[in-house]
Amino acid sequence: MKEVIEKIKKSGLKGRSGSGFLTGAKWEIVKKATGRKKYVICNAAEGEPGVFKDGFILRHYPQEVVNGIKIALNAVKSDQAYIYLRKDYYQKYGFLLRKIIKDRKLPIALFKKPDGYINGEETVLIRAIEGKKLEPQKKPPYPVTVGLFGLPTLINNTETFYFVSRIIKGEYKKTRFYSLSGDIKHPDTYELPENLTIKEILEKTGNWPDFKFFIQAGGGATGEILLMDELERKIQGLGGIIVYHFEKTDYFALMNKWADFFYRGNCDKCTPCREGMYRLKEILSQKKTDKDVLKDLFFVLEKTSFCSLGRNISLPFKSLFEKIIYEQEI
Amino acid sequence: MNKRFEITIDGKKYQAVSGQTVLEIARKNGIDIPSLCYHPDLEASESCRLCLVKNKDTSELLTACSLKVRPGMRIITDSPDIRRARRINLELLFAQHLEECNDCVWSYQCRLLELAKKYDVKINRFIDRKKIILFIKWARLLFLKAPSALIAAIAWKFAANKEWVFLS
Repeated sequence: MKEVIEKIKKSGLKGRSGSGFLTGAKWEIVKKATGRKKYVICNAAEGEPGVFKDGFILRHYPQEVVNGIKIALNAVKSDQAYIYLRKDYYQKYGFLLRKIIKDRKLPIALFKKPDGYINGEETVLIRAIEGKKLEPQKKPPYPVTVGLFGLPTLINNTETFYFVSRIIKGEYKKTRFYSLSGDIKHPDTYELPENLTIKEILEKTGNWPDFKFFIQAGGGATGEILLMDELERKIQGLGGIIVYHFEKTDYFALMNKWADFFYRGNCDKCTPCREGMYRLKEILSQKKTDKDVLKDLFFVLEKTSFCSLGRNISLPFKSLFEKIIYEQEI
Repeated sequence: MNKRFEITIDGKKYQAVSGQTVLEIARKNGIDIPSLCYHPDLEASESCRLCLVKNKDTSELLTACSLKVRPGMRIITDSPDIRRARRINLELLFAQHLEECNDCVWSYQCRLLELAKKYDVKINRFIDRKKIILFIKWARLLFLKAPSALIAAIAWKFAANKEWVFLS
C-alpha cells in the first residue's frame, strides 16, 4: 500500500478543511505512528454558514467518499472508521451512506454531530465520539499521534476523501469545490481548478455582479471581507464566496448574525471567547462603534484565546470595520 | 529520565527539570504570575487566560500554567502587551462578578480585587451580565431567567400568590 501514499504525495493534495495541511504527509505520519489500533475519521461537520460543498459531495458522490475512506483504511492499516455528520446531513444522507457501507462490508460507523459550531473542530470531534465534555484540547499532541481514545487517528475532510478516491482512479485534475452564495445569479457549488483567482471564479461561473459589491472569502462567518479591488488573489481556507451588495447590505445586521452565530457556537471554555463574544454581541446589537472597546476585545480574542476558533473570530469584524465602516465615518 | 537544564525568565537564569511548567518554576522562585483557574493538584484547565507570558523568540502570548519548559527557553513575564491582555481579561471576568462584595464571605480580601488594583482594572467597564431578567408568562405559568438572589425573591412572591414558577 506504499504506492497509495506516494501517489497522494505526488498529486500535492492539500487538506480541504481550511488549514491546508499536506494530505500525503498526514497519512504517512499516521501510518508510522505506533498504537494497538488506528482510526480514520471523515469530517462532514461543515458548520460554517455559506459553505455547502460537503453536502453537495455527499449528495452526488457518496460512493467516492466511502471509496476514499476505504483507501485510507488500507493505507494506514486501520480497522475502524467514522463519518462525523452534521445533524441534517445525518438525516438526509445517513440512509444512503449506510446502504453503501453495508453493500461493501466496510467497518465504517456514522456519528451524528452535536449542535454547535465548535463541535466540528478535530479535537472536539474526538471528544464527542469519546462521549466527553465538548471542549477543544491543546495541540500538540496532534490527533495524528494521540487522537481518538488516545490512539493515532487520521481526520480528513469529506472533500479530501473524495479527491483521494479521484487520485487513485487517476482522475484528479487539480480542482476543488467552491460554494458561491449571496447576491448572485446562480448560487451553487462549482468544481473548478485550484489556482483560479476570486475574480476569475466569479466571471467564469457567470456570477460577476453588475453593481458595487464586497465579498466574504473563506466562510460565511470566519471569512475575511474583501473589496472589489482585492479580488486578484486565490481563495484561502474553505472555498466559500459570499457576495454582498455594497449599498443595500445592513452592516450591523450582518455583524449581528456573525456575533450571534459565534456566541451560540463556541464552547464557553476560555474568558476572551466566552465573555468577549457576549460583549461583542451586546455592542453590535446596540449599534455602537466604540473603537477602544472593540480594539481591546479583538486584541484579547486574537492573542489570548485557547483554540483557533477564538483566534479567528475577530477577522471578519475587523476587516469589515476597517475597510468599510470606519472609511464611511470619515 | 528527567533532564536538568536552565531556562531564562525575565533575563535571569533558573534551574528546571523537564516536565515542569513555567508557572511552577516562576512560583518556586518568587516571580509573580497571576492566575485564577490554576491549582497545583489539578490538570491545567487554561480557561482564565491570566497567566499569560511571552516567548521572547516567537513573541506570542502563551499560558504559563500549561507551557512545558524546554532547554534555552526565554520567557518574559511582564510587558505592556501582557499587562494589557491581563487587564482586559480581568475586566471581562469582573463583569460577571459585580456588586456582590457586600454579602461575600471573603469580605474584600479576595484575589480578584487584589488583581484589579494591581492591573489598574476599571471593574465596571462592562455592565453585569446577570442583570438581564427574562420573563415569559404563559397562562398561569411563569418562566424566568434572572440572578439567583432575585429568583428567590420573585419565587417567594409568586408562591404566595399560588402561581407556578419554573426557575432557570
